[in-house]
Amino acid sequence: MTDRLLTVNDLKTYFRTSEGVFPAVDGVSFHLDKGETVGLVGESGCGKSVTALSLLGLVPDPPGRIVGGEILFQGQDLVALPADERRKIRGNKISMIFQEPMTSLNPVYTVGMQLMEPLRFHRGLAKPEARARAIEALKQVGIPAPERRIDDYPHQLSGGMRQRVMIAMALTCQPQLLVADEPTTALDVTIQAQILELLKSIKTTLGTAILLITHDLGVVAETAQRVIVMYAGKIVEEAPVRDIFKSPFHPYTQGLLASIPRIDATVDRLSTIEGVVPNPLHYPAGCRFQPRCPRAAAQCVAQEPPLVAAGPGRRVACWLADKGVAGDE
Amino acid sequence: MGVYIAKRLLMSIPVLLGVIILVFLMVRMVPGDPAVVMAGEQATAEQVDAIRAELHLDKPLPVQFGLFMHDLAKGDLGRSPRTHAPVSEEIGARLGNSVVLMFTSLLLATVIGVATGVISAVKPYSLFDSLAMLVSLIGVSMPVFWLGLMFILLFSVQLGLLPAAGTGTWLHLVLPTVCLATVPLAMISRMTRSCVLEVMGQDYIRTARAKGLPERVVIAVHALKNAFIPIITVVGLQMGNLLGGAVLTENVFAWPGLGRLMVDSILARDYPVVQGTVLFIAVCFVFINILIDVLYVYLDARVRFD
Ligand SMILES: Nc1ncnc2c1ncn2[C@@H]1O[C@H](COP(=O)(O)OP(=O)(O)OP(=O)(O)O)[C@@H](O)[C@H]1O
Ligand SMILES: [Mg+2]
Repeated sequence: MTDRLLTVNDLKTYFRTSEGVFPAVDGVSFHLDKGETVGLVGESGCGKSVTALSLLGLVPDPPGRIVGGEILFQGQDLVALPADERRKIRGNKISMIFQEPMTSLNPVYTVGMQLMEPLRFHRGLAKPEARARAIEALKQVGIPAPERRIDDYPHQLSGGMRQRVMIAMALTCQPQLLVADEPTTALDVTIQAQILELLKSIKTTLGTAILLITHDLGVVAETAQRVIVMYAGKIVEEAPVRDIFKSPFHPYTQGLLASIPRIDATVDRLSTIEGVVPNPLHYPAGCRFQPRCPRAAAQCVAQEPPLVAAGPGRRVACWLADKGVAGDE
Repeated sequence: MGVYIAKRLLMSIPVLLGVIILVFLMVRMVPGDPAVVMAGEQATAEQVDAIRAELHLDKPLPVQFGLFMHDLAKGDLGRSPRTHAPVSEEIGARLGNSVVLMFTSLLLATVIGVATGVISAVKPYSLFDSLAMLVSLIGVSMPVFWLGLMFILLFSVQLGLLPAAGTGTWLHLVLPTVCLATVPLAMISRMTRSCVLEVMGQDYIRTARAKGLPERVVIAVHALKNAFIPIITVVGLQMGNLLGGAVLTENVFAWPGLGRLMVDSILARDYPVVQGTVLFIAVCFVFINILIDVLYVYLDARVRFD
């Protein structure tokens, strides 16, 4: 309990569009302990980024808004906090890095200026001191010759370098929580591996908790201790990484796992999950995965399955998993 | 950059030549004998002939054109048969007034236009934004001379607050400035709004917010510097509008500038002055456009290559 850093309870973030209101995040609950790395996975559009933005208080409003739930960070409910108080936590105690390193830095300012900003605003540091700390931060994320690089403009850096700068920027104030929204998706494979290594080393040296958003279960296997699977705005399964690869409970998780190539198994064809992600404006009745589920039964259409405990550190939202139909084989 | 400027200058030569020919012909196609008009009602036949000879109007058109070009090559725009002063002197005497009017108008249009555009973009679809955009839509489509007349009716005739015409005090400058600034102001405000809105949707703005910067810093430091380049272009492009609008405004408010000189000269069939002013304005227009292009290339290059 003393290790608990973040508790999200029944978080609901809705978007108001011309076609109607839709729940991008629809009653999501999870927690993060200090210094722990948790993977958040799911198909495109399932609400991973919106969950992340909700934690930071960065959901674009309009059209989006947190309409319910609470986000307890170090015992304080962020949802109830006034905007200005929330801002003081952003980039300070909770930081975020994004998928697009090429466009996430401001093209008209030097790397140094952008790195120094959090220190100057949150810590009130004077320029020379902030600069020294910024150089230190660049060194920490493995940028060579940081004393020179600090005066570069973003376009003078490669994509991988920029993502390192983004990470350095997120870490300057030594946050307790780093939200990384697909930090490696836009990078090529070797650079991806380097950035993941960097994130792992941050976890060990700084003890920063990381919420790692990705649609790549391979990335999760390498970096995270626990994994949360989202589908259509809801959490469908949560488990320690070891367990999820060994015995996924939810048919959706099983589908996700079956669709990644494995070295230890010779398969002729990779399987995919049939069908498409449902339109959030018209979610199907009952379980949201039911139309695509190979095992859907009458109850799945009739009633939405709740997210319930399913063993140590595990939760699953599936009627069939509970009855032991899915799971270990 | 030097090559680029040289190329632009070369390309402007045919444009200016076209303007010269057009003006030369147009002035001569206007009905009425200019010598008679200029000499006045009580003039004798000898006086009329003298003016005709002075303007070479007794010679065939190609010869007239040759003489005109010959003088022009020497930088001589001729003399006004009305005032007997050199055309360049006439232009010089009015230029200051036009520059003052255009400067104050551009300043007003830029300051207010950029400010309203930024406020609108920061809170899009707010009451302020909707009102500002409605007003600017009206402003963009406002005929300048009609607006000027309405200003005079309201502020000078009805309320008696401001002088309707002439120069003298800074109060005289108020109505012409506002009138001339209206269209550029509306354009600048609309364009600023869309430029800033576009920048506000960029990823680096989200990064700036994620850092926990106060919103005013996000806008003033991170958004505006990026929106600045397209805004400068828009402001520059309004210079052309301003030159044209100045002719109308100066006439409505009897402001003794180049536009007024040009219209007066047209009415008096003062060929040399008409030719001189039109040519002068055309040259200004061409050079301002080159200047804006160069400025834009320069600013853009700084962002991309600096
Ligand atoms: N600014 C926005 N306006 C309207 N709808 C939005 C906005 N941002 C996200 N959404 C919607 O919310 C839903 C969840 O989007 P989100 O970006 O969280 O998905 P994601 O899981 O991060 O997907 P991806 O893997 O593609 O990043 C989607 O249906 C998306 O269209
Ligand atoms: Mg996303």
